[in-house]
Amino acid sequence: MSLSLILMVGALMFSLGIYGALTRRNVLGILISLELMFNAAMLNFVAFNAYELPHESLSPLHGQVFALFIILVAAAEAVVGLALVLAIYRNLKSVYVEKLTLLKW
Amino acid sequence: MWINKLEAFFFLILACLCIVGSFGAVLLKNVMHCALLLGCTLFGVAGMFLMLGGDFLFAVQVAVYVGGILILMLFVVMLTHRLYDRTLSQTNDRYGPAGILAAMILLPLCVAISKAEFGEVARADAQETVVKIGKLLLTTYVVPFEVASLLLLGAMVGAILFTKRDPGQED
Repeated sequence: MSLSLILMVGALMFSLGIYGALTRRNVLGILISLELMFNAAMLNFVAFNAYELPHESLSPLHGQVFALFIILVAAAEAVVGLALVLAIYRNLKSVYVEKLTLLKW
Repeated sequence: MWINKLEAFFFLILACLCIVGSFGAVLLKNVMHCALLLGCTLFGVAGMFLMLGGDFLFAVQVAVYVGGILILMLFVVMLTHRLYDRTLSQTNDRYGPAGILAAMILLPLCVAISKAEFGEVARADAQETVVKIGKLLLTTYVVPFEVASLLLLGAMVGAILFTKRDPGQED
């Protein structure tokens, strides 16, 4: 298990998330792809923390704290996003993005 | 050494879990299956946190991501799913540009990662991360910590506001 292998996994997850966010029609699918990208970024933070800041008695865990903040922002984003999906579904009876044209003039 | 082999074995399992889960979450047709495979990826990432010495982060990942966000997503999938959704295409027709963009991000990253020379740093034994993270959160990162509480409060109020029905609205 080396640092480059973990970074490769992160890069693959991130580009898959980009691909999914661009090709999905369903809002929920786009949110799932977003979560994939968040996870790839978190994996990179923690991997760099473990390898480049070696654990000594004084070395702090900055990468892990950043990953914690990413989890927090992802949770807030998911809650508001899913509430929006529910509100949109209640009004338009659809979760497909090409139907969401209320603001298109 | 057998412990290195054991570590490589577990890393292989976790990496397979992450990659298979990501492919499934992006490519499968049924949104329910996508959400469940996202859970697979989340567990894989949590296991990697554990291998990288983040035991507290592992617990937070399982509790908040799998236990919170994923369950919420499954609820919303079930609330907004209609039976004829299974016959509809879940993707648009822009496979080409999206694939090119994803490859344009993935390939340079892979080249850069494989050419970079990371120092050989030996990872030390397990340590108590909870105390250190708590100290960091209340000293170095105290301002982001307070901003985070505001963000969570705003998200909570927003979620209630968006999902609340208007009085008198029949549905």
